[in-house]
Order: sequence, then structure tokens, then C-alpha cells
Amino acid sequence: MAEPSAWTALMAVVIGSLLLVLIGTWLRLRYWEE
Amino acid sequence: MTTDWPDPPKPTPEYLLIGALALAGFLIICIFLGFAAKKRSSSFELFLVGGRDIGPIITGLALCATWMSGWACLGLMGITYWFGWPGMWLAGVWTLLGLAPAALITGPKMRAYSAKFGAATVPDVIGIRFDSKLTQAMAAASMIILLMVYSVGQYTAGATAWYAITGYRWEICMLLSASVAFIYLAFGGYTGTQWTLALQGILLTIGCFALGIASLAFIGGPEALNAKLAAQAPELVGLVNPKLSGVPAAQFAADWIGVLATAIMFFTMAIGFPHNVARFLGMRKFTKRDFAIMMAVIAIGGSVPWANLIVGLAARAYFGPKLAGIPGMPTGLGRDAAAPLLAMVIGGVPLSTIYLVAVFAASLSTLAAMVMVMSGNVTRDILGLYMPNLSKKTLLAITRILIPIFALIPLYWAIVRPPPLLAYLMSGAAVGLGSIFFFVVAVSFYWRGATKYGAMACILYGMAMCALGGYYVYTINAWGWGYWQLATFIGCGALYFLVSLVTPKPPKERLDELFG
Repeated sequence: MAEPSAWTALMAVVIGSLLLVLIGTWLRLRYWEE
Repeated sequence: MTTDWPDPPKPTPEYLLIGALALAGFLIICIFLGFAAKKRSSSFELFLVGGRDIGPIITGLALCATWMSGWACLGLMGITYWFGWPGMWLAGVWTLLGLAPAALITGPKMRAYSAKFGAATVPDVIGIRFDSKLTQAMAAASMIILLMVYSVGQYTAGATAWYAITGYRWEICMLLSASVAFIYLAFGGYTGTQWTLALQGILLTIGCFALGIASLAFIGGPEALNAKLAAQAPELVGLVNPKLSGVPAAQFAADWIGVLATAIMFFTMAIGFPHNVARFLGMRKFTKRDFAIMMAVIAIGGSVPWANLIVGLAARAYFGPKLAGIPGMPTGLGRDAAAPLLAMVIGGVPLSTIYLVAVFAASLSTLAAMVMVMSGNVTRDILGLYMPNLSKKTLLAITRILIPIFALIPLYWAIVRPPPLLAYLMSGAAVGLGSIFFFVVAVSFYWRGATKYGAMACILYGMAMCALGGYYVYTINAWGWGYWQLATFIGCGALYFLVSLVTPKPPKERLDELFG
């Protein structure tokens, strides 16, 4: 099996991390506690 | 490939002069901010947490500045320089995986404990949560020990950057790095904590991104980078390097167990680092808009390591393995100088000066935040608890005396026994801090069943594993780093939950008050 290139792996982590921030923030704002 | 690599650039007087001027300017601004804040930090509480009125941009930047240590802005490039792409897993690639939950999950609870119960330090929060002086004191003591280790790296980072641009002897570089830290601390750089940290966050973000973009352009873009690395050794462009399986301390780059352990370490460390989560104690009551702004700031600041790891790779593509043996430096520290040396090659005096300031901003912000946490822990969480008669004024005075002491001990260590690779030292302490305080702080905010006995068992086990790891992983190279990380994390969690389940819980009224 061809290993994904290191750049692809880095991009996957970058996009995944930014999505985590986005979704996490959205959830926190959706269920906001005063 | 031949072994004919370019020599590291030679320092010239311009580097020293411009670098020193830039550092002096940076220090003056920090000290000015410190003085401006000092007027307002007359009481012990205000000194530790400020007026609990800090907004989202400053809180986000301060969080990033304390997280981005000298390790993140220098040692991290040392890892990818040495291990190539397989090193990226330990080189901060997971940073946002840790910072985001710290802000999303731990932050609001920290703020609530600060506002509702008057908590001013992280052990304070733990003491309130478990209604236990002993747990608070144990948390404080373990933080002091682990932060001491982490502080060593801050001096080393500054000294390494200084070494690259001046070429002075290593000992002299250490003293210079320490002098900058002392001037900074002595003139009250720490009293402006959040504001100074925010400035440092901006500087290090700009410096590191500038170097990252310049490095990639210099080396010819993504494909050229990989081609140059592969020409040196195919392992440098892999995702893991199985050839490292004979080096247990480098398991983070050798196999997928090691990679999993790096992800868990980064996930737990930002949540568990007291000098990071302490940033939330001083923030004002956030609106939804404030919160979204803070998260955007964190997303930008938390991206810095991605730029940094490219710098290390570009340095490897350019210098080859040559930096491993630079004369005049303790063995291996030349690898950590990869970034400042590449900055000199690419951008001469201007770029390396920007980068130098970024490294000092990163290491001083982390050092100051740690020294503050350590001194606050001793006074408020140990002395204040067991000697309640001490006045707040005395406690503040003791804190101020302790600050230089806590700054000196790691300096002594950094000179006498410099770490072979900055990353090793820092990841050792990060494993301990993350594994312990992820459970004792973050999980305890949400799980009513946690008891002080569970928390204490978790702290004791985590500290024991750190001591064992220091010997078996880093000294005699017998345990795999990843296995050790997983054993520490899983063991801490297992003890925390199991002991909590079989020991008596705090009274229901108390829990209702905490969780209500």
C-alpha cells in the first residue's frame, strides 16, 4: 500500500484541527451557559 | 549524496548589534507594560489574577504565548531538523488539538471558579473542587517540580538563538539569556502578565510565520523540500521511521504507538498545563461574541507550530545532518540551532533579528508564567494553607522574593546539565503535567464522582512515572517513549476513576454548590 505523502498527512491534521476549533466553538455557542 | 554540506553561517558584529538593540527595545516595552500594570496589582489577589477584566483577544493571545514556549519556537524545529517528517508528530503538529479543548472545556470552568469562589491559582481551583488542603498542596508541589524541568528549556532556547547569531561560547550565551530573563522578571515584566503575554504572542506569531514562509520559498516549495530530503535519506520523508525502533526515546517518530502517544500528550498538555489554564482565571465574563473572537485568535496562534516544523525540515534540506556536531556547543544542541541558523542564511540580519525576538518572546512569556505559577503555588497553596495567620501583604512579599529563586534553580540546571535535545526534556515534563492535570482539573470539572483520594492517587502515580521515565526512557534508554506516555496517561486515569469510585464523596450540598 502506498503511504500517503507527508504533506498530505500534515494537511489532514491542519484541516482536522481547524474543523475541531470550528465545530467546538459552534457547539459551545449553541449550548451557551450564562 | 556527498557529505559536502554548506557551513553554518558565520556571525558578524551586525547580528550582535542589531539583535541586542532589538532585544533591548523588546525588554523596554515589556517592562513598561509591567509598570503600567503594577500600579493596579497592589493586592495579592490582583497580583495573581489581575482584575478579572481581561477581554477575549488578550486572553487568547496570552494562552498562545504561554503555550508557545522556547520549545515550540526553537526546539520544535530541532526535532524536524533531526528526524525529518516523522518528527512532526512530536513537533507541535497537534497543538490545536490541545489548545481548542483547553479553551472550550476547561476555560469556562476556570473562569467560573475564579469568579464564584475567588480562586487565584490552579491548585486553588483543585483545593476548592475537592475541599482538601492536602490535595491542593500536592498539586502545587507536583506542578513546581514539573514546571522546573520545563523552565530549563526556556533558558536553553534563548541561549541557542543567541549562540547562532553571536557565536559566543555556550556558557556566555546561557548567561546572556539568563540576564535578559532576570531583567525582565526583576523590573516587573511578570506583573503585566496578560498584556505582556499578548504582545509576546503577537511577536512570536509574526516572527515564526515570517520564517516559515521564507524557509519554504527559499528551499523551492513543498515538492523541492521533499525531493531534497529524500535524496539525503528516504526515511526523512516517511510518516514514521521504523529504523528508529532501536532508540526507545525516539518512539514518537518510530511507530504508530508512538504517534498515538504524541496525540494524547498534546491533547492533555494544554488542558493540564497550569501556566496555560491559569490564563482563564483573569478573564472577564465573556459574551458569545467574545468567546468566538477568542477561539479565532487561538486558531491563528495555535497554527504557529505548523510553520515551525517546516522551518526545521527546510534546515535539514539545506544543511544536511551537519548541524549535529557544531564545535563549542554541548553535544546535540546544534540541532536545536537549526532555525536561527537558517534564518541567517535566508534573511540575514533582518529576518534573524525578527526571529530572535520571537524566540525570546516565546521563552520569556512561558518562563514568566511558570515562575509566577510556581511562586504563587508556594505562597498561596502551601504556606497560605498551613499558616493561615500570614497576612496577604506578607504573602505578596514572599511571592516577590520567590520569583528570582524559582528563576535561578532551572538556570543552574541548564548550565550544569544541558539537555541533549530540548524536545526530550520538554516532552518528559509535558507527559507528567498533561496526564495528571487532565484528570485532576479538566475531568473533575465535569465528573461529580471524583474524590480527593482519586486525585491524590493520580498525582502520586503520575509523579512516580515521571521519575521512572526520567531514568528508563531518557537516561538508560530502556523504555519506549510512547509506551511510557500511554502507561502514564492510562495509569493516571485508571487510578483516578477507580480510587474515586471506592472512596467517600464530598457532601451532596458541597457538590451542588460546585456543580450548580
